[in-house]
Amino acid sequence: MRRLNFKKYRDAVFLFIIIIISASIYILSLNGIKIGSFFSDFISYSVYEVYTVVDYPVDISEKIYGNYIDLLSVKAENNVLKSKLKIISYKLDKYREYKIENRKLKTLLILKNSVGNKTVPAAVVLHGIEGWFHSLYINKGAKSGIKAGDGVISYDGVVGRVIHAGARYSRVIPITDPKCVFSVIDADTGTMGIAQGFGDGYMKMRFVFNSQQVHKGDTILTSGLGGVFTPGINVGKVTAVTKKNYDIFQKITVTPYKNLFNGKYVLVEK
Amino acid sequence: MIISLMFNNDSHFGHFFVFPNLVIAGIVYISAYLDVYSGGIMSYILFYIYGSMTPLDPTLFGFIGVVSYAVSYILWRKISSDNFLSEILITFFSASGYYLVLFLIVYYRLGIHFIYLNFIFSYGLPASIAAALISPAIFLFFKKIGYKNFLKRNQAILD
Repeated sequence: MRRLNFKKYRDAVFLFIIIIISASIYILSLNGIKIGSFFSDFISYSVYEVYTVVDYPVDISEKIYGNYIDLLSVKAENNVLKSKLKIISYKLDKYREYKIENRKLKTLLILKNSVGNKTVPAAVVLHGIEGWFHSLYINKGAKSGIKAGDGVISYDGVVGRVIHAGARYSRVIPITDPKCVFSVIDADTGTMGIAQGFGDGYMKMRFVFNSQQVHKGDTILTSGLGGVFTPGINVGKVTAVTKKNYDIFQKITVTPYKNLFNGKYVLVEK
Repeated sequence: MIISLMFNNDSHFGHFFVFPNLVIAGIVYISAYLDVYSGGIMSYILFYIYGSMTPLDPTLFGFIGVVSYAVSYILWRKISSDNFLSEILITFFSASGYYLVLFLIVYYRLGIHFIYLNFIFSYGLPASIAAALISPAIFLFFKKIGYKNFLKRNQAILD
């Protein structure tokens, strides 16, 4: 029992001594007496090499982590930029639409100034597709002074005639409709006739005698007779001419101009 | 030690990131299973090497290491049980003693004036807790690699 107590006492003494010694070494070191500085330098340099090697993966992982963090911020920024891009793209589309609308309105204004009759500008609200709908709807009606039978034109040429005028809208039949009949003239030969729609996207030029000159490829314009359309507006081109000896009149097929159903803005001639 | 040096604690003042000081956990293990002579000298040497890699005087770390060892050695003999909880508690108190002495010397002797509360709550205490929590794993590791060698030499605690 006494030996055990002595052992404990001896351990405590040793601990006390070693603390005193280490404290003394430190105090001496503070006063400029460097004990073991050679060892510390050696340890410092040798462990530094190990430290550098072992620290390399940590350094690499820190760089990768840093890059990952940067990537996350770039991703977040990218999302913000994407949303901004969507807004800008939407605005750009709107501006493009405005640009197209502006161009069309300008051409309509030119047409309005060139047409002698009183006109009412209108927009096509429902586009008829050839063969599907045989009529177009425009956003002006009787309140704007439009009545059934008025001619409808666009910058590209004759569109059709008003068949029904509502209070705020009107229904228009295109020139390819069999009900649409108006006076035309061959711009190349001066031959006059009556244009009437076939209903299948073409027109026929009626009442042209066999003796009169009409050739394939001639341009057909409005003649102005009947007072529906201003003279000289494009109607289409002659695509077929058939003459028979026993018939008084020629059979002339006219193909309307390309953009008959593409116009958005039209003028209604009164 | 190398791992501790890699995440050199002395360079993380004022940061939230605190890496556990594995050397302290090692010293606590040594104080449990080695005799006082070998343990005292080894603790001085280990902390001297550790201090050699810091910008401070390595003899300072040697001194603090011996003090920590002494605290740990005394606590092991007072508690006299070998379980996770005692490992954690003793490591925590030894680490707290280590950081307290380090702080006092650095503050008063070297004149590097940290803010008390900042040092305690953002560095000293978290580092001590981290070292304490990691200590069972360190103990297990040392037992796996050197259980027979150390245990045969000193049965002080278990006796």
